[in-house]
Amino acid sequence: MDAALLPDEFAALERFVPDWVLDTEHERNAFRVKQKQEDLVDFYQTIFPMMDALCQYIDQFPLNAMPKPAAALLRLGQMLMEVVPAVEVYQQPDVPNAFEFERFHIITPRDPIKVLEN
Amino acid sequence: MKTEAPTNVKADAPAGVPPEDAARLPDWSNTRPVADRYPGMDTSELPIEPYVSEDFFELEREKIFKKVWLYVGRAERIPKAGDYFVQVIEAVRSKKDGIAPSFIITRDQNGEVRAFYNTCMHRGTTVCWDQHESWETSHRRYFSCRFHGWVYDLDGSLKSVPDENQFFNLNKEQRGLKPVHCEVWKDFIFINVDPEPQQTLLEQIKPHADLLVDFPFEKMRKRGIWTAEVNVNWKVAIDAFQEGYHVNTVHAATLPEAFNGPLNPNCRPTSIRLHEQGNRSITFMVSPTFEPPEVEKWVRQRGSSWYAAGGEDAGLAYPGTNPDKDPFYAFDCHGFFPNMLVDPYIGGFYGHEFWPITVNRTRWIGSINFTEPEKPSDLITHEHGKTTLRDAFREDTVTLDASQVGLESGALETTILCDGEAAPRHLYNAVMEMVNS
Repeated sequence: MDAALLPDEFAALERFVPDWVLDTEHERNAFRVKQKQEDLVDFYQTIFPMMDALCQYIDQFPLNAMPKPAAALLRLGQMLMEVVPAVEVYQQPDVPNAFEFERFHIITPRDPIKVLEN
Repeated sequence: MKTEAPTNVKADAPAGVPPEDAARLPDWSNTRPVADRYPGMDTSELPIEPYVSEDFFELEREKIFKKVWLYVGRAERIPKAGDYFVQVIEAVRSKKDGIAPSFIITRDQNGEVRAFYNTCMHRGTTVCWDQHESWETSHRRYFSCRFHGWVYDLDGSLKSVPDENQFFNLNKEQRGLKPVHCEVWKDFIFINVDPEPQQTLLEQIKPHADLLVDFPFEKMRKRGIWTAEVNVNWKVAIDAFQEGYHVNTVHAATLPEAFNGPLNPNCRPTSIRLHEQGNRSITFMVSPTFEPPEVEKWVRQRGSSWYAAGGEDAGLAYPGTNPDKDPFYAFDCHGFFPNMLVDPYIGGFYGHEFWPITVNRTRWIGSINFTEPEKPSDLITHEHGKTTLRDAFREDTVTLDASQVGLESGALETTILCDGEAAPRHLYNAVMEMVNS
């Protein structure tokens, strides 16, 4: 198994690496709707109590020079926001009675960040 | 125009609503927000023909879309000289069943935003073949045609022609890319394909330009974009996003309580301005009894989501928002005639474009915009606004095809609108005025 990516204080999130670490809104949404609800809830319950610490950690770095562990934590924080409506409101992975997923295209630009190579 | 505080306040607050909150809003049972502001306004039913007739659609193309300023994109998308994108606009095609023309929107060497027909002036071939799958930007130092290699500068001038001396009477100064009128307002790029526009962009959007003069649109960046081709007339699509009457039903899953609590169960607008030339501005409120879910609470301690949360938020001065000082302010919806909605709130704005393809096909583009992130965690709070708004749009869009099926079924000759559906009527009236001109 690869060495841990995340800092020690976020070791509880290591099991979500790399599957839940996705760079774009499009990828995160496609991922969310394919998960089991219980796995979304598990992720939500694991990461939400850590969010203040997570933000404090990633905000040590400038947007244009983020080390890989910080970038991964940012993506996990964004993934929480992706799963929040499913967990807190719908109680199911995708929006109920919604416009077809396949016809709805997410074309969001990439975030303005730069990740350091090592 | 009515801006004073409501006088016919309700004496008894609904269960769970603090009396001082209830006292700040009208007695809804005796109020019609739009008709009260515009006594004697037209309340007749609307014929459905303008939403289903191919002939009427042709009149709209000729008399509206080929005559007015159309929003095509944000200048932030082309920050450097030579950045460009290609925009296909079906509604301005030259023939009824013709092919949609495309346009190059670029920034020239002097930093000016310019628009051209994407057409080589040699034998008409498309110059830039980009198909933007996403909100991508392309970049070139000059535009060269793939057919015979004619080269145009970023300002459209014809720069070089291979084997030029083999042409007869070629005047290169008259063979530059054909320009299209192009103006920029607060980073919004508009074009007008009419060779002699009947008014300036600022004349067309004047009510919004006045109301929103201080809103910092030019400092905001597009951070979420979603699109779908929907089988519906373009006006029906717009109307689905410019009234609150649908919120209680359509958004039962995504926004079950935020906007339609006991003080305003059917999400009536709290202020509305019906401007000249089909422009309109509406304000919606949040429910003061709404208790946000845990993560939304956490987000709101750090920044904003996609609407203001009333209370302290509503008191924040954010220039250009909440024109009637609604104490439970959520967001405004500004309808820019003909086919754009701009919805500012405290901290950002979202919006929609509606591009007619045929009488019953429309390309919808929804988006949300935030100020530049200052630190990495801003991208997390932004993400909350993006996902919750996007999921709500998945509910709005589901009604669209279904509406057109019914309108075309022959079952009804008219639609009937309530007070809070004044914006659809205002759009309809403006369309009729231009089509009949």
